[in-house]
Amino acid sequence: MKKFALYFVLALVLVMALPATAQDDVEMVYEDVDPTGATVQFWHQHSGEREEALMEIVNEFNETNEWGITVEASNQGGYGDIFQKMNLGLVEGGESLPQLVVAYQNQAATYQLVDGLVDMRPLVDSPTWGLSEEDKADFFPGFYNADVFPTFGNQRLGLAPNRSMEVMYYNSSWLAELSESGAISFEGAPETPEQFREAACAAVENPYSGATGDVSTSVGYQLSFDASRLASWTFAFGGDVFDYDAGVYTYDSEAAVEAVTFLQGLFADGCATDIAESYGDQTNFGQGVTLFTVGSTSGLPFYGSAVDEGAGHEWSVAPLPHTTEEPVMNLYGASVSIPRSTPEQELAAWLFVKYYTDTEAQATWATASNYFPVRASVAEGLADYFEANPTYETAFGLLQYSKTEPPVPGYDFVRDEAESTLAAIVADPSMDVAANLGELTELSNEILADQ
Amino acid sequence: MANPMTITPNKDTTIATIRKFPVGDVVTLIFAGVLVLALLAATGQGQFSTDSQDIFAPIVAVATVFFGFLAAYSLGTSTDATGNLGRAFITVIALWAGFISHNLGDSGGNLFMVVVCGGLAAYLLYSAYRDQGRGTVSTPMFGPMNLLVLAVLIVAVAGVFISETAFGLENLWLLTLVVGLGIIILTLVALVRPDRARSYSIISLGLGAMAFIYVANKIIVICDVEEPQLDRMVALAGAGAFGLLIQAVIPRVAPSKVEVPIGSDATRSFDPARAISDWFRSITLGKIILYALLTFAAFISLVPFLWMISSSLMTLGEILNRAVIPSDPVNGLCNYVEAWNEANFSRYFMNSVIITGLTIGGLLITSILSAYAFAKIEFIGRGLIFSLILITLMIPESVTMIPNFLIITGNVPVIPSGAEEGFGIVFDSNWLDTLTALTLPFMANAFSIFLLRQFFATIPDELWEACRIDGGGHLRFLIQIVLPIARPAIMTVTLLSFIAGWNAFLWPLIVTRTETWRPLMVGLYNFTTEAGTQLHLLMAGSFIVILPILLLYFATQKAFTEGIATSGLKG
Repeated sequence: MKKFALYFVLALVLVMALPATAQDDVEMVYEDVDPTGATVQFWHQHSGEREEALMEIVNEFNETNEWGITVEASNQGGYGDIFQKMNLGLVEGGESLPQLVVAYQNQAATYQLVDGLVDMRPLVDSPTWGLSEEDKADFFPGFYNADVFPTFGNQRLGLAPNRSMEVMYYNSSWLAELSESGAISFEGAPETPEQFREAACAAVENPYSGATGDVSTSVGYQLSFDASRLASWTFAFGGDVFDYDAGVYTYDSEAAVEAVTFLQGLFADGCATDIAESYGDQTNFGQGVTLFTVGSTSGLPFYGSAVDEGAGHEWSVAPLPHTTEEPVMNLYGASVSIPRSTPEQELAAWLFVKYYTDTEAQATWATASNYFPVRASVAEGLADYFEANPTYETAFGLLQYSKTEPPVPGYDFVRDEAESTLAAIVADPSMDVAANLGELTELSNEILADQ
Repeated sequence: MANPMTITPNKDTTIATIRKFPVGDVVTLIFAGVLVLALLAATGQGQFSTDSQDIFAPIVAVATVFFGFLAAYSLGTSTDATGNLGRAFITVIALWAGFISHNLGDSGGNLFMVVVCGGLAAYLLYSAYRDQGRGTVSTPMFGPMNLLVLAVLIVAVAGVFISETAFGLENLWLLTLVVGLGIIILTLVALVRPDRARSYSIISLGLGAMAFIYVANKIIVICDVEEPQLDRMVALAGAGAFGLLIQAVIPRVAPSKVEVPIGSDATRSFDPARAISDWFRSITLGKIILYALLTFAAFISLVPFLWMISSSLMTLGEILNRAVIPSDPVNGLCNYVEAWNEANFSRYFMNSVIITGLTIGGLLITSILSAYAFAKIEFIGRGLIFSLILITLMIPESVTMIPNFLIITGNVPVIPSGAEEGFGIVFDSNWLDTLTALTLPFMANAFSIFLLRQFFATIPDELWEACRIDGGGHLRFLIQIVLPIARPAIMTVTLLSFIAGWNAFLWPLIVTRTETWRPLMVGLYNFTTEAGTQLHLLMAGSFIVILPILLLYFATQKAFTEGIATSGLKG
């Protein structure tokens, strides 16, 4: 609540300082700029092995780039902390801001309310400094277009260096037992919501034989109350939480109501529970007492540790059960954006981004970070990694079905509301799903209008 | 130390000395025993090499023990025990500085050794000269003891120049071993002479700290390899040394003298058999229930702490699977090394010490002066200003975040600019990423002023009047009379502000841009990612972070409790 209050104050201040400077035309303004000797501060959230891998890429760039550009990368806390620091910096006038920053799309949109970021089109499309058509085609389309903002005249406010995806983690050993015993009518991972419900409910009555946890707590699915989960299930039911043509939230769409009603039913029948402790679903999945969880692919190593030292069962990932013909995967991840500074520094920051998203650096980054690379050509260099990490390869194969959550300002606040609404609905089977999602939609659109 | 309180018995009474069971000394003995036995066992398993040609380690080892005993002995013979104790003790520290200098490496470390030893030797001489002048020391300035101390210092310094590596790391286990033995003997002496137990516990603290530094160093070296296989005995020695460190700061209960009727049981000599039978007779059902409940409550309150320690010795998989006991706690110790390295604790720890130290210093100055003014000086608007200060307690941090940030970035013109830099405090228009931004905003605090003002107000005005009669002013009254009386309250403010400064997270994260001045709490954040938390490293890091707070609390426990009880804050 304190956090929300702070964000609200920050957003209010930003809105009050809003200048009307959106621009639609793209002028090649960097052609004659010389980035030689420029220094770029890069704020990111990576720590541990990821930070080490990033520093390797940064050091390599610093040593090899022909302009003598120096990138100084530094961890500035989590996404929320960086968002807060950026907002404070923008309020203060921008002098304390970096030249390159990690930002989710909705955060970038918030910064751009005060014209805080560079429109990267003159950089990406520059004949001198930009990407070739071949390079652009090499990016996964969903990744490449994720940072183009229709709400800001199609400005490009970032470029993705990596992505993660929401997938369903499942205990394949347990599913096989359920199938062999006739408790479920299918084999392998469930592909439809009906199959998912069948397996989830069967799991409660038929605990996994190799479970190391308390089998009396066996459950089919554990749901964390998160806006991304809500979006993922809505996507899987063929809908979306935002109408990009009308520019409004659609949490009350038919697909969203169906998805949440489905989840509410799972809870009401005792086939699903919420997660009592942070990342408790990883623990229970590892102990063989939770059949399904839904989470980010960046959690693969954590699930691996939990299973290896838990029940040691077979497990994998699959798309969320869907009513659509093809799966629809919720793809997310922060991009890198360029805050306004001098033309030389802006260009220097871009040149690093270009290097960072190049095939070679992407291969290094993907294997070290467990994120997905943004270029298709990187897959060729990941053969060994795929062999060592089959679940990663499975998830990689789902990238083609990806879709993203709304890149609009204020989504951080909407997420909080969506999480509360989802928790309230599944906790009370008698609650009217459509009415509550309608209220959420109304509130979300009010927040959007306030931005 | 002698009991300062003097009791004069009348014809029907006599003076009895009441002694408490020396739990602290017994526990110290256990830890020291573990340390010594584990080191001997580890040596037997070839964990420590004795092949080194470096002869300085045995010299230092012998010197450490010698001066340890010298310190103890001096307590019994000198008329100024503290002087002799300090003299011997700082000499041991000087020698250990050589060991630390070895780990710092290169000639810079050796220079450090020379500076430390030289400085301490100078202090030693000054100390001896001062005591000589007072006539309170039985030994002359250039007596055998001082000359011996100086000789060892000279040998140590010469050793630095000759060997270029200070003291060999591989055979310094000898030093730790004799330190452990020294502690055992000192503690036994303390049991025989409990009136000096506090002094011996101070010596044990120093020696325990040295043992801990050494064994921890050994563990770090082993854990740094790709797949560490930490020896059980080395780990046990580490645990023993750590236990000594903790145990030594717990205040000992000195024996108290009380006036009792002649013939009272208290005057009889101590009879263990009778004490035990008395104890059994005193047990009642009510006591059993009470103690069971209290033990249960104590255990419950300790569970989070025990869970943290246990988790810090596990693998990530074990924690995720809710294990209670680590399967391999020995190699789990390497989590501490990994956490220390991964979160850059070397830098952050020092930063936290500097930030907290400066903040507390500044806070005490502003709080003591203003609290005194509010408590003892009549001036127009005193109540109003005090109320206004108290109102600031009601303003949440999130509301003041943006204005504070604008102030420290120079957007609100209240910051002096154009002055020169000095002692790391930058007087410029923008304080981002400086020590100033991390310390100055917290050098005044309404709660501290309130707490101290409440305490100062209880000091009788008659003392002020007496001071005035003697020609003293407010400053003299404050420094010479109020502050000594208010020691518990000041210790409370110190501890509370230490905890606040040490635990600060959000503000340091916001106002720092690089690692230069980031504190420990920001380092802890490194273990949290969007996919999950490396809980085993986070718990190890958390334990490292809270350790100074624990030590400070143990050391100031009594004063802290008194401060809370006497400043009107108890519930």
